[in-house]
Amino acid sequence: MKALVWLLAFVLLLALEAPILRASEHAFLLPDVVVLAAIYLGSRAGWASGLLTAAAVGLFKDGFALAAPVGVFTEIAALGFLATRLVARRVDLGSAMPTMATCGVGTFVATLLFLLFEVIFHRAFDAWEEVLKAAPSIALGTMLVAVPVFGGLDRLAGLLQRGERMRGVSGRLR
Amino acid sequence: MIRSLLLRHHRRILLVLVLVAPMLSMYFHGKPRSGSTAMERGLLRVTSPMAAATGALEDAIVGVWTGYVDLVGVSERNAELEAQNRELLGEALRSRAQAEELRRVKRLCGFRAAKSELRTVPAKVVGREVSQFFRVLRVRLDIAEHAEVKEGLAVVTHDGVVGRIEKLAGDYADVMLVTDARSAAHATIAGKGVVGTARGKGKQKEFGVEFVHLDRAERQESILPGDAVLTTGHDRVFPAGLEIGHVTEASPSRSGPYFEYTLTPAVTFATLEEVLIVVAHSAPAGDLPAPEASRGRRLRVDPANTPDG
Repeated sequence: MKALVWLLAFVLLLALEAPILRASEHAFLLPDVVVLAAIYLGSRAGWASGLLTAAAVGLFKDGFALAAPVGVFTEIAALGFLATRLVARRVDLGSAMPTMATCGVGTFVATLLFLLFEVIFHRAFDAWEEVLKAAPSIALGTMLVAVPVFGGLDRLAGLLQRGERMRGVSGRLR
Repeated sequence: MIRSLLLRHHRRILLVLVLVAPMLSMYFHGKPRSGSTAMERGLLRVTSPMAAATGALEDAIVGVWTGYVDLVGVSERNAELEAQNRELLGEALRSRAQAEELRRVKRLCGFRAAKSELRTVPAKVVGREVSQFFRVLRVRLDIAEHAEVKEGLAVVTHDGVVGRIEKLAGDYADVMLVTDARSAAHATIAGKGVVGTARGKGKQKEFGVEFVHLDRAERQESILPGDAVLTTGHDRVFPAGLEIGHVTEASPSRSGPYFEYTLTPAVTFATLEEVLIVVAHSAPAGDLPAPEASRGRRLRVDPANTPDG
Protein backbone atom coordinates (compact mmCIF):
# COMPACT_ATOMS: atom_id res chain seq x y z
CA MET A 1 0.00 0.00 0.00
CA LYS A 2 2.77 2.40 1.04
CA ALA A 3 4.79 1.54 -2.07
CA LEU A 4 1.76 2.24 -4.27
CA VAL A 5 1.22 5.63 -2.62
CA TRP A 6 4.90 6.49 -3.10
CA LEU A 7 4.72 5.41 -6.74
CA LEU A 8 1.66 7.62 -7.30
CA ALA A 9 3.38 10.54 -5.57
CA PHE A 10 6.51 10.25 -7.73
CA VAL A 11 4.48 9.82 -10.94
CA LEU A 12 2.54 12.97 -9.98
CA LEU A 13 5.87 14.80 -9.53
CA LEU A 14 7.00 13.57 -12.95
CA ALA A 15 3.73 14.71 -14.55
CA LEU A 16 4.00 18.11 -12.84
CA GLU A 17 7.58 18.52 -14.05
CA ALA A 18 6.60 19.66 -17.56
CA PRO A 19 4.09 22.42 -16.63
CA ILE A 20 6.35 23.64 -13.81
CA LEU A 21 9.22 23.85 -16.27
CA ARG A 22 6.97 25.82 -18.58
CA ALA A 23 5.59 28.18 -15.94
CA SER A 24 8.66 28.79 -13.76
CA GLU A 25 11.26 31.40 -14.58
CA HIS A 26 13.79 29.27 -12.68
CA ALA A 27 13.15 26.14 -14.70
CA PHE A 28 16.87 25.36 -14.80
CA LEU A 29 16.60 24.43 -11.12
CA LEU A 30 14.13 21.62 -11.82
CA PRO A 31 15.00 18.50 -9.78
CA ASP A 32 15.69 15.01 -11.08
CA VAL A 33 12.63 13.12 -9.85
CA VAL A 34 14.16 9.72 -10.68
CA VAL A 35 17.13 10.41 -8.40
CA LEU A 36 14.78 11.63 -5.66
CA ALA A 37 12.71 8.43 -5.99
CA ALA A 38 15.75 6.12 -5.98
CA ILE A 39 17.26 7.78 -2.88
CA TYR A 40 13.99 8.05 -0.98
CA LEU A 41 12.96 4.46 -1.68
CA GLY A 42 16.51 3.17 -1.10
CA SER A 43 16.54 4.72 2.37
CA ARG A 44 12.93 4.03 3.41
CA ALA A 45 11.33 1.17 1.47
CA GLY A 46 11.77 -2.59 1.71
CA TRP A 47 14.14 -4.37 -0.69
CA ALA A 48 11.74 -5.95 -3.18
CA SER A 49 8.91 -3.39 -3.03
CA GLY A 50 11.42 -0.50 -3.12
CA LEU A 51 13.31 -1.90 -6.10
CA LEU A 52 10.11 -2.50 -8.07
CA THR A 53 8.70 0.93 -7.18
CA ALA A 54 11.97 2.67 -8.16
CA ALA A 55 12.05 0.77 -11.47
CA ALA A 56 8.39 1.69 -12.11
CA VAL A 57 9.13 5.40 -11.48
CA GLY A 58 12.05 5.10 -13.93
CA LEU A 59 9.76 3.48 -16.51
CA PHE A 60 7.27 6.35 -16.17
CA LYS A 61 10.12 8.82 -16.66
CA ASP A 62 11.03 6.86 -19.81
CA GLY A 63 7.44 7.41 -20.91
CA PHE A 64 7.53 11.14 -20.22
CA ALA A 65 10.92 11.59 -21.95
CA LEU A 66 10.69 9.38 -25.02
CA ALA A 67 13.63 11.11 -26.69
CA ALA A 68 15.98 8.68 -24.87
CA PRO A 69 15.78 4.90 -25.51
CA VAL A 70 13.14 3.30 -23.28
CA GLY A 71 14.87 1.70 -20.28
CA VAL A 72 17.52 4.36 -19.59
CA PHE A 73 15.73 5.89 -16.61
CA THR A 74 14.45 2.49 -15.42
CA GLU A 75 18.04 1.26 -15.22
CA ILE A 76 19.23 4.49 -13.55
CA ALA A 77 16.41 4.24 -10.97
CA ALA A 78 17.18 0.57 -10.18
CA LEU A 79 20.93 1.21 -9.88
CA GLY A 80 20.26 4.34 -7.80
CA PHE A 81 18.05 2.35 -5.45
CA LEU A 82 20.71 -0.37 -4.98
CA ALA A 83 23.47 2.22 -4.47
CA THR A 84 21.34 4.07 -1.89
CA ARG A 85 20.83 0.79 0.03
CA LEU A 86 24.62 0.56 0.35
CA VAL A 87 25.08 4.25 1.20
CA ALA A 88 22.27 4.16 3.81
CA ARG A 89 24.30 1.69 5.90
CA ARG A 90 26.96 4.35 6.51
CA VAL A 91 25.10 7.65 6.05
CA ASP A 92 22.06 8.84 8.00
CA LEU A 93 19.61 9.63 5.20
CA GLY A 94 17.02 10.76 7.73
CA SER A 95 18.82 14.08 8.36
CA ALA A 96 18.81 17.07 6.06
CA MET A 97 22.48 17.64 5.19
CA PRO A 98 23.46 14.03 4.36
CA THR A 99 20.25 13.73 2.30
CA MET A 100 21.06 16.88 0.33
CA ALA A 101 24.67 15.81 -0.22
CA THR A 102 23.60 12.33 -1.36
CA CYS A 103 21.04 13.84 -3.74
CA GLY A 104 23.64 16.19 -5.22
CA VAL A 105 26.20 13.44 -5.75
CA GLY A 106 23.44 11.06 -6.92
CA THR A 107 22.32 13.51 -9.61
CA PHE A 108 25.85 13.81 -10.99
CA VAL A 109 26.25 10.02 -11.01
CA ALA A 110 22.82 9.66 -12.68
CA THR A 111 23.88 12.19 -15.36
CA LEU A 112 27.07 10.23 -16.01
CA LEU A 113 25.08 6.98 -16.20
CA PHE A 114 22.64 8.67 -18.58
CA LEU A 115 25.53 9.72 -20.84
CA LEU A 116 27.08 6.24 -20.61
CA PHE A 117 23.84 4.53 -21.64
CA GLU A 118 23.27 7.06 -24.41
CA VAL A 119 26.76 6.43 -25.78
CA ILE A 120 26.37 2.64 -25.62
CA PHE A 121 22.79 2.28 -26.80
CA HIS A 122 21.79 5.49 -28.60
CA ARG A 123 24.20 5.99 -31.47
CA ALA A 124 22.54 9.14 -32.83
CA PHE A 125 23.09 11.00 -29.54
CA ASP A 126 25.45 13.97 -29.68
CA ALA A 127 24.10 16.39 -27.06
CA TRP A 128 26.97 15.73 -24.60
CA GLU A 129 27.74 19.33 -23.93
CA GLU A 130 24.13 20.27 -23.13
CA VAL A 131 23.71 17.35 -20.72
CA LEU A 132 26.95 18.14 -18.87
CA LYS A 133 26.12 21.86 -18.71
CA ALA A 134 22.67 21.11 -17.27
CA ALA A 135 24.01 18.69 -14.61
CA PRO A 136 25.09 21.23 -11.91
CA SER A 137 21.78 23.13 -11.98
CA ILE A 138 19.75 19.89 -11.90
CA ALA A 139 21.89 18.67 -8.98
CA LEU A 140 21.26 21.96 -7.16
CA GLY A 141 17.52 21.70 -7.82
CA THR A 142 17.45 18.08 -6.61
CA MET A 143 19.36 19.02 -3.43
CA LEU A 144 17.02 21.92 -2.65
CA VAL A 145 13.76 20.02 -3.06
CA ALA A 146 14.97 16.73 -1.54
CA VAL A 147 14.30 17.66 2.09
CA PRO A 148 10.75 19.06 1.62
CA VAL A 149 9.79 16.22 -0.75
CA PHE A 150 11.16 13.54 1.59
CA GLY A 151 9.47 15.25 4.57
CA GLY A 152 6.15 15.32 2.76
CA LEU A 153 6.43 11.67 1.75
CA ASP A 154 7.40 10.71 5.34
CA ARG A 155 4.29 12.50 6.63
CA LEU A 156 2.20 10.67 4.05
CA ALA A 157 3.71 7.34 5.13
CA GLY A 158 3.06 8.24 8.80
CA LEU A 159 -0.59 9.00 8.08
CA LEU A 160 -0.99 5.70 6.23
CA GLN A 161 0.62 3.81 9.11
CA ARG A 162 -1.60 5.54 11.67
CA GLY A 163 -4.70 4.72 9.60
CA GLU A 164 -3.66 1.06 9.39
CA ARG A 165 -3.03 0.95 13.17
CA MET A 166 -6.45 2.51 13.89
CA ARG A 167 -8.15 -0.02 11.65
CA GLY A 168 -6.28 -2.80 13.51
CA VAL A 169 -7.37 -1.50 16.93
CA SER A 170 -11.04 -1.10 15.92
CA GLY A 171 -10.96 -4.60 14.40
CA ARG A 172 -9.65 -6.08 17.67
CA LEU A 173 -12.28 -4.17 19.72
CA ARG A 174 -15.04 -5.63 17.57
CA MET B 1 11.06 -28.19 -6.66
CA ILE B 2 10.90 -25.18 -9.03
CA ARG B 3 8.68 -23.33 -6.56
CA SER B 4 11.10 -23.81 -3.71
CA LEU B 5 13.98 -22.75 -5.98
CA LEU B 6 12.07 -19.61 -6.93
CA LEU B 7 11.22 -18.86 -3.31
CA ARG B 8 14.81 -19.39 -2.18
CA HIS B 9 16.32 -17.20 -4.94
CA HIS B 10 13.52 -14.66 -5.46
CA ARG B 11 15.77 -11.71 -4.57
CA ARG B 12 18.43 -12.69 -7.09
CA ILE B 13 15.82 -13.34 -9.79
CA LEU B 14 14.17 -9.95 -9.17
CA LEU B 15 17.54 -8.18 -9.22
CA VAL B 16 18.53 -9.77 -12.53
CA LEU B 17 15.11 -8.98 -14.03
CA VAL B 18 15.14 -5.33 -12.94
CA LEU B 19 18.72 -4.75 -14.13
CA VAL B 20 18.75 -6.80 -17.33
CA ALA B 21 15.29 -5.99 -18.75
CA PRO B 22 16.01 -2.22 -19.09
CA MET B 23 19.38 -3.04 -20.71
CA LEU B 24 17.64 -5.18 -23.33
CA SER B 25 15.03 -2.46 -23.81
CA MET B 26 17.78 0.18 -24.29
CA TYR B 27 19.58 -2.05 -26.80
CA PHE B 28 16.37 -2.61 -28.73
CA HIS B 29 15.11 0.99 -28.62
CA GLY B 30 18.53 2.57 -29.24
CA LYS B 31 18.81 1.02 -32.71
CA PRO B 32 17.86 3.31 -35.60
CA ARG B 33 14.26 2.48 -36.59
CA SER B 34 11.68 4.05 -38.84
CA GLY B 35 8.67 3.69 -36.53
CA SER B 36 7.91 3.55 -32.82
CA THR B 37 7.67 0.26 -30.92
CA ALA B 38 4.64 -1.12 -29.08
CA MET B 39 6.32 -0.25 -25.76
CA GLU B 40 6.93 3.37 -26.80
CA ARG B 41 3.35 3.65 -28.03
CA GLY B 42 2.08 2.17 -24.76
CA LEU B 43 4.14 4.58 -22.65
CA LEU B 44 3.05 7.51 -24.79
CA ARG B 45 -0.59 6.49 -24.35
CA VAL B 46 -0.18 6.30 -20.56
CA THR B 47 1.86 9.46 -20.01
CA SER B 48 0.25 11.79 -22.57
CA PRO B 49 -3.13 12.09 -20.78
CA MET B 50 -1.21 12.72 -17.53
CA ALA B 51 0.81 15.50 -19.16
CA ALA B 52 -2.40 16.96 -20.61
CA ALA B 53 -4.14 16.76 -17.21
CA THR B 54 -1.30 18.46 -15.32
CA GLY B 55 -1.15 21.11 -18.03
CA ALA B 56 -4.88 21.76 -17.53
CA LEU B 57 -4.34 21.83 -13.73
CA GLU B 58 -1.62 24.44 -14.18
CA ASP B 59 -3.94 26.51 -16.38
CA ALA B 60 -6.67 26.24 -13.71
CA ILE B 61 -4.28 27.32 -10.92
CA VAL B 62 -2.99 30.23 -12.98
CA GLY B 63 -6.62 31.12 -13.80
CA VAL B 64 -7.63 31.12 -10.12
CA TRP B 65 -4.54 33.13 -9.19
CA THR B 66 -4.96 35.81 -11.83
CA GLY B 67 -8.75 35.89 -11.62
CA TYR B 68 -9.26 35.84 -7.83
CA VAL B 69 -6.23 35.90 -5.53
CA ASP B 70 -4.73 38.97 -7.18
CA LEU B 71 -7.87 40.97 -6.37
CA VAL B 72 -7.47 40.87 -2.59
CA GLY B 73 -6.47 44.56 -2.43
CA VAL B 74 -9.68 45.61 -4.15
CA SER B 75 -11.85 43.54 -1.81
CA GLU B 76 -10.42 45.34 1.22
CA ARG B 77 -11.68 48.69 -0.06
CA ASN B 78 -15.18 47.73 -1.03
CA ALA B 79 -16.81 44.30 -0.83
CA GLU B 80 -19.56 45.12 -3.26
CA LEU B 81 -17.20 46.63 -5.81
CA GLU B 82 -14.86 43.68 -5.39
CA ALA B 83 -17.59 41.21 -6.33
CA GLN B 84 -18.49 43.29 -9.33
CA ASN B 85 -14.84 43.73 -10.27
CA ARG B 86 -14.15 40.04 -9.98
CA GLU B 87 -17.02 39.21 -12.26
CA LEU B 88 -16.02 41.81 -14.82
CA LEU B 89 -12.36 40.85 -14.69
CA GLY B 90 -13.22 37.18 -15.08
CA GLU B 91 -15.29 38.04 -18.12
CA ALA B 92 -12.54 40.27 -19.48
CA LEU B 93 -9.93 37.54 -19.01
CA ARG B 94 -12.15 35.01 -20.72
CA SER B 95 -12.85 37.42 -23.59
CA ARG B 96 -9.16 38.25 -23.92
CA ALA B 97 -8.28 34.57 -23.97
CA GLN B 98 -10.98 33.95 -26.59
CA ALA B 99 -9.83 36.91 -28.68
CA GLU B 100 -6.22 35.73 -28.43
CA GLU B 101 -7.23 32.23 -29.48
CA LEU B 102 -9.28 33.63 -32.36
CA ARG B 103 -6.32 35.76 -33.49
CA ARG B 104 -3.99 32.75 -33.41
CA VAL B 105 -6.43 30.54 -35.30
CA LYS B 106 -7.05 33.30 -37.87
CA ARG B 107 -3.32 33.67 -38.49
CA LEU B 108 -2.95 29.90 -38.85
CA CYS B 109 -5.90 29.79 -41.27
CA GLY B 110 -4.37 32.68 -43.23
CA PHE B 111 -1.08 30.81 -43.45
CA ARG B 112 -2.90 27.66 -44.55
CA ALA B 113 -4.74 29.55 -47.30
CA ALA B 114 -1.59 31.36 -48.47
CA LYS B 115 0.43 28.15 -48.67
CA SER B 116 -1.97 26.27 -50.90
CA GLU B 117 0.84 23.95 -52.04
CA LEU B 118 1.00 22.52 -48.51
CA ARG B 119 -1.57 20.06 -47.20
CA THR B 120 -1.71 20.49 -43.42
CA VAL B 121 -3.65 19.19 -40.46
CA PRO B 122 -4.02 21.15 -37.22
CA ALA B 123 -2.81 19.93 -33.82
CA LYS B 124 -3.03 21.29 -30.27
CA VAL B 125 0.03 21.51 -28.01
CA VAL B 126 -0.61 19.58 -24.77
CA GLY B 127 2.85 19.45 -23.18
CA ARG B 128 6.44 20.49 -23.65
CA GLU B 129 9.95 20.06 -22.28
CA VAL B 130 9.46 16.65 -20.71
CA SER B 131 13.22 16.17 -20.37
CA GLN B 132 15.95 18.50 -19.22
CA PHE B 133 18.14 17.37 -22.11
CA PHE B 134 15.92 17.30 -25.18
CA ARG B 135 13.74 19.93 -26.81
CA VAL B 136 10.50 18.07 -27.41
CA LEU B 137 6.93 19.25 -27.73
CA ARG B 138 3.93 16.96 -27.25
CA VAL B 139 0.85 17.63 -29.40
CA ARG B 140 -2.66 16.20 -29.50
CA LEU B 141 -3.81 15.58 -33.05
CA ASP B 142 -7.12 16.50 -34.61
CA ILE B 143 -8.95 13.17 -34.41
CA ALA B 144 -10.81 13.67 -37.71
CA GLU B 145 -7.65 14.04 -39.80
CA HIS B 146 -4.85 12.35 -37.91
CA ALA B 147 -4.85 9.15 -40.03
CA GLU B 148 -2.55 10.93 -42.50
CA VAL B 149 -0.02 11.92 -39.85
CA LYS B 150 3.22 9.91 -39.86
CA GLU B 151 6.54 10.10 -38.07
CA GLY B 152 9.06 12.45 -39.69
CA LEU B 153 6.49 14.97 -40.97
CA ALA B 154 7.23 18.69 -40.65
CA VAL B 155 5.43 20.75 -38.00
CA VAL B 156 5.00 24.47 -38.74
CA THR B 157 3.10 27.60 -37.73
CA HIS B 158 2.43 30.89 -39.49
CA ASP B 159 5.70 32.16 -37.94
CA GLY B 160 7.86 29.39 -39.34
CA VAL B 161 9.28 25.94 -38.70
CA VAL B 162 8.60 24.23 -35.35
CA GLY B 163 10.23 20.83 -35.90
CA ARG B 164 9.34 17.35 -37.03
CA ILE B 165 7.23 14.52 -35.62
CA GLU B 166 9.49 12.13 -33.78
CA LYS B 167 7.12 9.65 -32.17
CA LEU B 168 3.45 8.94 -32.75
CA ALA B 169 0.93 7.01 -30.67
CA GLY B 170 -2.83 7.22 -30.98
CA ASP B 171 -3.94 10.83 -30.84
CA TYR B 172 -0.62 12.08 -29.49
CA ALA B 173 2.73 12.83 -31.07
CA ASP B 174 6.12 14.06 -29.83
CA VAL B 175 7.67 16.80 -31.95
CA MET B 176 11.45 17.24 -32.04
CA LEU B 177 11.99 21.01 -32.13
CA VAL B 178 14.43 22.62 -34.58
CA THR B 179 16.46 23.70 -31.54
CA ASP B 180 16.94 20.08 -30.42
CA ALA B 181 20.59 19.01 -30.64
CA ARG B 182 19.54 16.15 -32.93
CA SER B 183 17.69 18.36 -35.41
CA ALA B 184 19.06 19.38 -38.81
CA ALA B 185 17.37 21.23 -41.70
CA HIS B 186 18.72 22.30 -45.08
CA ALA B 187 18.69 26.08 -45.14
CA THR B 188 19.47 29.18 -47.17
CA ILE B 189 19.23 32.96 -47.06
CA ALA B 190 17.34 34.24 -50.08
CA GLY B 191 19.57 36.18 -52.49
CA LYS B 192 22.76 35.73 -50.42
CA GLY B 193 24.29 32.82 -52.33
CA VAL B 194 24.65 30.57 -49.31
CA VAL B 195 23.29 27.14 -48.47
CA GLY B 196 23.87 25.08 -45.37
CA THR B 197 22.44 23.12 -42.50
CA ALA B 198 20.62 24.61 -39.53
CA ARG B 199 21.42 22.47 -36.49
CA GLY B 200 19.98 22.67 -32.99
CA LYS B 201 22.22 23.25 -29.98
CA GLY B 202 19.81 21.88 -27.38
CA LYS B 203 19.14 25.42 -26.16
CA GLN B 204 15.68 26.92 -26.08
CA LYS B 205 16.33 30.29 -27.62
CA GLU B 206 19.15 29.80 -30.10
CA PHE B 207 20.66 27.38 -32.55
CA GLY B 208 23.36 27.40 -35.20
CA VAL B 209 23.50 27.30 -38.96
CA GLU B 210 26.57 26.25 -40.94
CA PHE B 211 26.73 27.92 -44.35
CA VAL B 212 29.03 27.16 -47.21
CA HIS B 213 29.50 30.42 -49.10
CA LEU B 214 29.22 29.89 -52.83
CA ASP B 215 31.71 31.44 -55.22
CA ARG B 216 32.40 35.12 -54.34
CA ALA B 217 31.07 36.22 -57.76
CA GLU B 218 27.76 34.52 -57.08
CA ARG B 219 27.32 36.16 -53.69
CA GLN B 220 25.19 39.28 -53.90
CA GLU B 221 25.20 40.61 -50.33
CA SER B 222 26.89 39.95 -46.99
CA ILE B 223 25.02 38.18 -44.21
CA LEU B 224 23.65 40.61 -41.62
CA PRO B 225 21.94 40.18 -38.24
CA GLY B 226 18.19 39.91 -38.82
CA ASP B 227 18.55 38.05 -42.13
CA ALA B 228 15.86 35.39 -42.33
CA VAL B 229 17.09 31.81 -42.73
CA LEU B 230 14.64 29.81 -44.84
CA THR B 231 14.16 26.14 -45.61
CA THR B 232 15.19 24.98 -49.08
CA GLY B 233 13.02 21.86 -49.15
CA HIS B 234 16.03 19.77 -50.22
CA ASP B 235 16.00 17.74 -47.01
CA ARG B 236 12.56 16.41 -48.13
CA VAL B 237 11.16 17.06 -44.66
CA PHE B 238 10.50 20.80 -44.49
CA PRO B 239 8.72 22.54 -47.38
CA ALA B 240 10.73 25.25 -49.14
CA GLY B 241 10.46 28.91 -48.18
CA LEU B 242 9.51 28.60 -44.50
CA GLU B 243 11.40 30.72 -41.99
CA ILE B 244 13.59 28.73 -39.56
CA GLY B 245 14.98 31.72 -37.71
CA HIS B 246 17.02 34.85 -38.17
CA VAL B 247 20.74 35.53 -37.85
CA THR B 248 21.61 36.88 -34.41
CA GLU B 249 25.29 37.77 -34.81
CA ALA B 250 27.15 39.10 -37.83
CA SER B 251 30.48 37.50 -36.87
CA PRO B 252 30.42 33.76 -37.61
CA SER B 253 32.83 31.16 -36.29
CA ARG B 254 34.73 29.40 -39.05
CA SER B 255 35.50 25.71 -39.39
CA GLY B 256 36.97 24.61 -42.72
CA PRO B 257 34.72 25.75 -45.55
CA TYR B 258 31.85 26.42 -43.11
CA PHE B 259 30.79 29.64 -41.44
CA GLU B 260 28.63 29.01 -38.39
CA TYR B 261 26.10 31.69 -37.50
CA THR B 262 23.93 31.78 -34.39
CA LEU B 263 20.21 31.94 -35.07
CA THR B 264 17.14 32.90 -33.06
CA PRO B 265 14.17 30.62 -33.84
CA ALA B 266 11.32 32.17 -35.83
CA VAL B 267 8.81 30.48 -33.52
CA THR B 268 8.45 31.23 -29.78
CA PHE B 269 8.09 27.67 -28.44
CA ALA B 270 7.14 28.71 -24.90
CA THR B 271 3.83 30.26 -25.99
CA LEU B 272 2.96 27.84 -28.78
CA GLU B 273 -0.65 26.58 -28.57
CA GLU B 274 -1.64 25.39 -32.05
CA VAL B 275 0.51 24.00 -34.86
CA LEU B 276 0.05 22.65 -38.37
CA ILE B 277 1.44 19.29 -39.50
CA VAL B 278 2.46 19.24 -43.16
CA VAL B 279 1.13 15.93 -44.52
CA ALA B 280 2.03 16.67 -48.15
CA HIS B 281 3.90 19.36 -50.07
CA SER B 282 5.22 19.97 -53.58
CA ALA B 283 8.89 19.91 -54.70
CA PRO B 284 11.36 22.61 -53.50
CA ALA B 285 11.16 26.01 -55.16
CA GLY B 286 14.13 27.42 -57.10
CA ASP B 287 14.36 31.05 -56.04
CA LEU B 288 13.05 31.97 -52.60
CA PRO B 289 11.58 35.39 -51.82
CA ALA B 290 12.62 37.09 -48.57
CA PRO B 291 9.64 37.23 -46.18
CA GLU B 292 8.13 40.58 -45.08
CA ALA B 293 8.91 40.00 -41.41
CA SER B 294 12.61 39.43 -41.94
CA ARG B 295 13.03 42.65 -43.89
CA GLY B 296 11.51 44.58 -41.02
CA ARG B 297 13.85 42.92 -38.50
CA ARG B 298 17.11 43.42 -40.37
CA LEU B 299 19.71 45.40 -38.44
CA ARG B 300 22.54 47.56 -39.74
CA VAL B 301 26.06 46.43 -38.78
CA ASP B 302 29.59 47.42 -39.60
CA PRO B 303 30.55 45.59 -42.84
CA ALA B 304 33.94 44.87 -41.28
CA ASN B 305 32.20 42.38 -38.97
CA THR B 306 30.79 40.32 -41.80
CA PRO B 307 32.68 37.49 -43.53
CA ASP B 308 32.76 39.62 -46.66
CA GLY B 309 34.37 42.50 -44.86
